[in-house]
Amino acid sequence: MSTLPPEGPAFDPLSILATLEAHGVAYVLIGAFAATIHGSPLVTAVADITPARDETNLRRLAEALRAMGARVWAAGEPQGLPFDCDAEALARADVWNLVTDHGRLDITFVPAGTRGYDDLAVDAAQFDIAGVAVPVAALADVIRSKEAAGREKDRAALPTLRRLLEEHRRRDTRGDR
Amino acid sequence: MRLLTLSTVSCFDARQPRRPAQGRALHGRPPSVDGAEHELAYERAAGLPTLSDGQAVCAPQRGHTENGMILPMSGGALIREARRRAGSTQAELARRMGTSQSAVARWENGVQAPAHDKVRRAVEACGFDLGVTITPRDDQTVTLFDEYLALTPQQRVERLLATLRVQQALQKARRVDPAA
Repeated sequence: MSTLPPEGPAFDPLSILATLEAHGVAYVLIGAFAATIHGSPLVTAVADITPARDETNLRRLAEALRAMGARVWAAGEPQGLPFDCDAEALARADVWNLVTDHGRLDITFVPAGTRGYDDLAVDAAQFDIAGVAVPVAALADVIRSKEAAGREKDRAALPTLRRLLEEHRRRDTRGDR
Repeated sequence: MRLLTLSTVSCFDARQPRRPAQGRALHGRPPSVDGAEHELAYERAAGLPTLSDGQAVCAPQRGHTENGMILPMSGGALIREARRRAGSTQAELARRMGTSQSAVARWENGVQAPAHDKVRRAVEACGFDLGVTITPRDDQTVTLFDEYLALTPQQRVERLLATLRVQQALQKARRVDPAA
């Protein structure tokens, strides 16, 4: 099954992340795209983030989302549906499935198995990717979240991600990573 | 009751600090060291019989491999994971289990390996059930790791986007020619 929506904007995650950075949004990248950065060969066309939930950050996030033309993603609506994108609205839901001018962006304030931004930020690392500073959740935390979520697509990815983590640890032990 | 799953293919190396992979730690915090070995985890690392070999999984007395590396998810790491998910302190968990905070710390820090029953009790005290699964290894995907881990994070992203472009082109081709 394809990971791509049939239509809609092409996935350009670095433009999404650059926009978040430009607006000073505090967040941690999680999910399959975070795993990609850690070396996962699994394919995804969605960027998942967990932002800090304080009012200032929500305001910055709302500005960034407006700059990206964020709309609510819905099946059958590849271009998304407009919504009132402000800090108050963002605060009212735990999960936002969005489509932006640069492709899919899912926002989850408290991913399954975690306690949200503060929890994930503890072990997150910052990567410089094409000049964009990207805070990425630890692979162990990506796995933790997927284990807890327990959706079919998460369960399917877990064996690969666990083996990848094992490979990371093995290479760390050998000092060749 | 929620479920925590222990898989023989998961890996939380007890003696390896959780450190960022090729990135910079966000908070400059020294890496934490967590966990102790778990019998089921050790079984594969030490080459002991597994269910896939048609034999019962057996629990070794010790969880260290010859080179001192401990694979994969340890009992202590599971306890820490469950406690963290529950948002509890070591002291709170110890109280619920009728043990001491220092005992919980020893398990989580890998100083002492908790018995399987202790792991189960700790996980339950955190409001979870402990599920144990044994899954076949996917060696086909693993062969890709060498290739992907040799790339920089930026190259990994570029590889993903190239793959997506190919998928998208194939989708368009199928729409034009449904027989393709």
